[in-house]
Formats: sequence, structure tokens, C-alpha cells
Amino acid sequence: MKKSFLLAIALPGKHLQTFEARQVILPSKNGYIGFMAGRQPLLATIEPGLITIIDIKDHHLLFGTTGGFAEMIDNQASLLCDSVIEVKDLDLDEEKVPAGKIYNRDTSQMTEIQKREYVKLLMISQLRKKTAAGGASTMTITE
Amino acid sequence: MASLRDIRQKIGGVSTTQQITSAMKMMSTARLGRAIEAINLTHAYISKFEHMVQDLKRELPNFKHPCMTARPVKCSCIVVIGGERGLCGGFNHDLNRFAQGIIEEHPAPQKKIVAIGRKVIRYFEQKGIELYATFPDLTVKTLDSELFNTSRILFELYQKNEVDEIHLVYTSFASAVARYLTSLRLLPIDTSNMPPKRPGKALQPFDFYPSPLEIFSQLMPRYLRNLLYRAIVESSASEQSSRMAAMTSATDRAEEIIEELKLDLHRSRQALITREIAEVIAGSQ
Repeated sequence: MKKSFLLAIALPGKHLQTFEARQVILPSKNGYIGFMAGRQPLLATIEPGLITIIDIKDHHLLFGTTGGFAEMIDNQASLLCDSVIEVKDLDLDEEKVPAGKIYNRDTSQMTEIQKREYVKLLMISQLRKKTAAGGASTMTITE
Repeated sequence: MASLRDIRQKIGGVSTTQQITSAMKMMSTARLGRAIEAINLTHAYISKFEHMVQDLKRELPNFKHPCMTARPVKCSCIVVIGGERGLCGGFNHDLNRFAQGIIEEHPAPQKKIVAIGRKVIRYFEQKGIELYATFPDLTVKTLDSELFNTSRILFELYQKNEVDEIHLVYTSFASAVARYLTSLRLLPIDTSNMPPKRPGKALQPFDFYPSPLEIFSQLMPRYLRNLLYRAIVESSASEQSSRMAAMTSATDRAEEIIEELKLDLHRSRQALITREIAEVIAGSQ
């Protein structure tokens, strides 16, 4: 049985990016879901949040999205994202994460700008945790 | 016969015009290149969307959604995407006439016309065609910020049953020398026009998170937005290619006029010299 699958990330007005991935974890309506090679066909919405891709070298690649769709079929996955936020878009020194809990906010009524701000906060929070635990990998989606 | 000074002034004027048309041609070429790249990128994204819709349809053949089901047409919305500026040959004229024909011949009892682009707005205003909404500033440059709002307005019109179908009229781009006036139905979507899904083997049943209805309800506004995006980018590419062709012929024509004027100048100069020599000879005799 195959241990990896082809993952394509499509963004409006950007080049299609493809990866050989072992696992993808993404935010769905009912919380984060993960899928691996050989999964049953899937069609899901992506909610604003963080997407983690584990590649064939076991690198954890992290980026944020404001929403989209995920499809897995014939061991090929496609992520259609409205927009992505990468680590290079963040200023980790300047950005301030509020003291309150930022997870589990209702994003359905948020505007596009509010979603981006929310995802940025999630990313900073996650990156700080990873940095404290020994480093985080970053990736480039857009060209 | 015009004086030498007049001819030299004319040559100077035509040369200046030639410089302008040549610069416009170069700018259009550069913009066309960017627009073609944007079209190619959009095709990949939209085809992924269409594959998802096809998968949904194949998995759930009895699935019904308002965006897929045609209803009796009482009111139709026609979105016309026109040009931003002039000096692009027959681009604006052809589109305006085509759109006017579509509007006049459309059988719906009520029509809501949405115009995108300054030139088409001005044309409809001059013709006395009532416009439901206008977006003069929605161009390729402002797509990221403005498109979301425009597509939301259109989708809400359909969702609230204020219109029963949405048509798009624009100039589609085939190549730098070929463009076509196109009328396309946006909603309800016609899945028969979508590219066939890759031939698949017998698949396991799909998992849907959340329900297919909810997925489709979220998919449709985005699909509409991206179709609109592609149409605006294609229209812009067509406008630039049309302008490029117009400016090329204008530059070439300016070159011909300069050559003709130079010939006139030389003839006039020669005639003047001949006359002066004749006068000198006549004076000496």
C-alpha cells in the first residue's frame, strides 16, 4: 500500500503547487481532520485556520488559509484555498497575540480581512509553541 | 502648394503621434503578456472547481440545488463586461452592439442589466438603457478588492429569487489575433458544458464534510466569483490585444504619412530652388 499521495494546492491567480505528502491536517466544519494515503474519497470544506502538511521526509509544513475546499480521490488530494497566509507574511516580533483564547471562534460571520487577522493570530500562536519545542518548518505556496 | 515650414510642422506632428502610438503598442504588449498568464492560472483553478462539481453530481445523481435547477424565468440578469478605455479598434463598439442585441432579444419579461467597465456604462447611458448596477472601477488592477463585493451582489440576487438566471456577456480571448463575443449562462450552472471528469475506476462512496448541500452552497459563490474573474481577465486581454493591433496599424500608417510628407517636402524644396535659379537667370539676361 502506498504511503504517500500527490497533493495539489490551487489558489486563484497563482501557480498550482504540488507535493508528495504523507499526511494533511486541515480545519473543517467539525474541527481539524487529517487524511493519509489510500483514504476513502473525500470532499470537505476548509474553514479558516491552519493547514499542516507532513511530507515524505517527515517535515511538518505549516501555513494558514481563510477557507476553501479539499478533495481526495484516487490517492490524489486537491486543496482549493481562497487565500493563504505564509510565515513570510507575518512579523513575529511585532504581532501581538491577545491573552484570551483565540481558538474556536465563530468565523462564519467574519469578513475576509477579519478571517486573515484571525488566521495570523493562530499561526503566531502555533509558531511560538513550535519554536519553544525546537523549531518549525515553513513553506512557500505562492510564487 | 503648402510651404516648407508647414510641411516640416506636419512631419513633426505625425512623428510625435507615431511615438505615442508606438509607446501604447509596447504597453499593450506587456499588459497582454500579464493577462495571458493570469488566464492560464485561472483555468487551472476553475477546472479544479468543475471537477468537484462533477464529482458531487456523479456521486449524488439525484442531488438538487437551486444553483443547478432551472426555474421559470421572470427576471433575467445580464452582466456585461466592457472595456476600460478607447483607442482599441472596434473592441468597444463590437461588444456594445452585441450586448445591446442580446438585451433586446432576450425573452425574459424583466431584465436587470449590470455593467462593468467605463466604456460600456457610458454607451448604455447614451442609449437610455436602464442599469441595475454599475462597476466602473472593477478592472484587472482592482480585482482582488472589488470582485468579492460584485460577485456577492450577483449571488444574492439569484439566491433571493430576485432574478431567475444570470448571463454574462464579454469578449473571450482565444489568442493575440482571435477573440470572440461570448454570452454565457452563469446561474443556474450548466454542468454539461463542464469538461468531463478524468476516467475513473469504480470508486468507494464519498465522505462529505459537512453535508453535500452545505458544501455546494459554499462552493457556488466561489465558483461564480472565479468565473467572473476569468471573464474580466479575458476581456482585459482581448482589449489589450485589440489595442496592440490598432496601435501597430496606427504606427505603420504614421510611418507611411511621414514618408509621403518627406516626398512632398523634397518636391517643394526642389521647386523652390528651380524657381529661384530661373529668377536669377532671368535677372542676369
